[in-house]
Amino acid sequence: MTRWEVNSMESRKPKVLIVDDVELNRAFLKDMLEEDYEIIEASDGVEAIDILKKCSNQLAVVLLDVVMPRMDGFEVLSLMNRYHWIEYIPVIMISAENSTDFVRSGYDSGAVDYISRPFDVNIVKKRVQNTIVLYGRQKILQNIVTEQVAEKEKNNTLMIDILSTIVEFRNGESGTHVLRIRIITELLLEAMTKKCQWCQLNPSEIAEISNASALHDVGKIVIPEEILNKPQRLTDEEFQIVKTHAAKGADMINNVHVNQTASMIRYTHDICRWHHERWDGKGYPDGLKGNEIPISAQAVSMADVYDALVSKRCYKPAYTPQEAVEMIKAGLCGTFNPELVACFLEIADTMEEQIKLRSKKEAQLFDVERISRDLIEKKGGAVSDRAIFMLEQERVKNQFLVALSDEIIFEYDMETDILDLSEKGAELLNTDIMIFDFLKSGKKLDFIHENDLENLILGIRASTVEKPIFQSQYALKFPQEKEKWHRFTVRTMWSGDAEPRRIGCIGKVESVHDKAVVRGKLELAERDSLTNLYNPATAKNMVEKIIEEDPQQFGAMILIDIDDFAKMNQIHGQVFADRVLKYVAVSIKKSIRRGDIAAKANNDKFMIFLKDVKEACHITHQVERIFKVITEGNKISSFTINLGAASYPTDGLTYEKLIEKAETALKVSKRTGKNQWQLYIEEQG
Amino acid sequence: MNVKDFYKSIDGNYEDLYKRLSGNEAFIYKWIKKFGNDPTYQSLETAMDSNDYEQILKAAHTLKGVCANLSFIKLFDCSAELVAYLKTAGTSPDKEMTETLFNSIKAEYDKMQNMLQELE
Repeated sequence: MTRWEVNSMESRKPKVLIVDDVELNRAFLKDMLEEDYEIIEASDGVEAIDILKKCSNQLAVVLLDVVMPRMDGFEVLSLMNRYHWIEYIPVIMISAENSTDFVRSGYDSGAVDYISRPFDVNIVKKRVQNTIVLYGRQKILQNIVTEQVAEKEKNNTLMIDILSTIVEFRNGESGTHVLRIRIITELLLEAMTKKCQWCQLNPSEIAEISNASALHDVGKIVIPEEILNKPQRLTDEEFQIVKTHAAKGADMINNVHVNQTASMIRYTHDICRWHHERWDGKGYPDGLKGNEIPISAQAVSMADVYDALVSKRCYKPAYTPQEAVEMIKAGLCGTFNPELVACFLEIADTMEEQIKLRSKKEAQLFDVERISRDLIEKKGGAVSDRAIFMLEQERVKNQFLVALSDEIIFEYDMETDILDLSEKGAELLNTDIMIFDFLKSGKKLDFIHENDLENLILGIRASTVEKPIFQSQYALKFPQEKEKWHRFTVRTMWSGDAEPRRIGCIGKVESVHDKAVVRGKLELAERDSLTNLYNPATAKNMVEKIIEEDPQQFGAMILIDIDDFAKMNQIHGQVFADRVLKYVAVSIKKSIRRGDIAAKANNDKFMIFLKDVKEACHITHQVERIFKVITEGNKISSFTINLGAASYPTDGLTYEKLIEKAETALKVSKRTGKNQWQLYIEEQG
Repeated sequence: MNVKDFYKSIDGNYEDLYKRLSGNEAFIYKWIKKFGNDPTYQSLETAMDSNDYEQILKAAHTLKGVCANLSFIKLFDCSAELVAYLKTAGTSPDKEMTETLFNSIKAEYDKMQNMLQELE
């Protein structure tokens, strides 16, 4: 536990974090503020971030210097943005110079104020005090404004909905037409924004256009009802009258006594006037062509056509959504922007489903009860305060336990790409307690092998919500010490969304090096359980290493086969067969030198690699000697062996080649009879 | 020698500091004493020895800030000159020029350290 944490238990003054690398500069500010505030000091950005991580929600304000080693003030600000601390902790920049550039970039990065040197005690005090007070007030104000805007927005769309429903009703259309048009327009515009470079609408523009879409047929108010609801085919004259609704609707909007520059009004006008224009220029009222038609009107026009097709009207039955899509695709219902058609076809499959989903959401938006409940809860404040308090308690407990533990505990946060280590862990591994840009930088870590790290990350990536825990063992490298085996236990953390995303992980690393159980396990992996010789994979690695390290030396690859082993197993049983295997293994071990490699290959075969034989002619002696040790010392008389050998480098330069040649020699030996041995000679192959 | 005389002897502006601190003389005395042990000047000297211009600029900048806070006008001006020169000189500052500017800082700093001994 560090100094300031102990202090923080006693004091009730607001806490101020001073971040400056020059002690004297911190002392100036500390002396000025100490009377009214509790001062926490950080001598660079990294320390500041560490403190913020531990107690961000206790800090009233941060005073931040710019030029600092390790991590400067702007980097601190950018991390505060990434962690979202900037949203509730005001930052005052300390500047040595009043260069406007500097101050501007400070503000751009989220600082709320700045103090310039030389410090004036009254100014410093006042700035800090004002910032704390204003920030608190601003928060409250922000909430009130948000609520009021939401309320107003609600009334806005409510009026539009009422008005457009009246129009629909008069047109003899179902009330859901407006809602459906709005959602389809929204879906189309979202798809366009995603797909087309030139059509970049932000979510609020899309919301405005789709809200405005509800009024597309407002001009129909002036069309006589008999014409609108006439079940028979309209006469040319009547059709001309119906067509006037577009221009008339636009005129009505133009004459509305509200702020005409509001984008909502402009969208509504465009939609009313041009939602019957066609891409080929054959529409009405103005015969606009291509992208002369605003995208808002294009989208509403398509939504209108689609919804008209799938609805029953007095002059036509309802088509199925599939039929409607085919008709639009075939160009039977007017010509549209090809890009818009592409978007439409892309979303067509899920369209009806989306409409259902979003209609529900829409209904919820006007759920007065829900909104008021939310507001009361927000205003009450007690609930969230309590939640924050409990969270804080948990954090303190957790921090305390981590500090007490001698283990390496780590936490990785995906959003910020920062790896945090417990103090003890960082000390053991001789690294920082925070590693920035952990994945992004691809930095080589001194304490873990690169491929181990890769495997660890793969393991974590393979974890799921149901099975979030991953365990594995890797060797860790310590400064001036041998590598040691460690068990990693990692739990992946998931977001609380409907579709949980991996947001990071926490984990513990404990040494297992000295534990006998684990040693056994490690050995087991390398050795054959019955004979205690190496397994083939390990032996292969070792042989390859020997050859690679000294390609000049002479060596021999020997394969030993127990004759008729399968039959022996059948006749005498497995216990007997195992005894034979063990006996051969022991004999082999007795006959080889240290550094030679003996392995148990598949069921009845053994492999020996003799390394560093002085001269080529010695190989024969060695092989013969080993053969004799096994056969002449045979206390279990009822078995015989065959042995084949190949020399390195004469018969082959690689492990595979040597094995192949030794196999050939073994076959020749077997042809000669039982209890034989054979060196590989060229003619055999 | 009292604090006021000390300021006079090193071409500092005691009145300015007094005003900025609302007359808190205890702070002034404490800070001046602290300045005597501040490592900024030493880091500037080290950077000069190794011709590390980036570090020279950083140290001079820090020294400038500290002097501003203490109203050490003369020393502030000297460090400000070095900072300004290094900023305009860019990547290839003139060694001799840098040394000349540093030497005037050094002269002022040494003088101040001597005076600090006499401060009661």
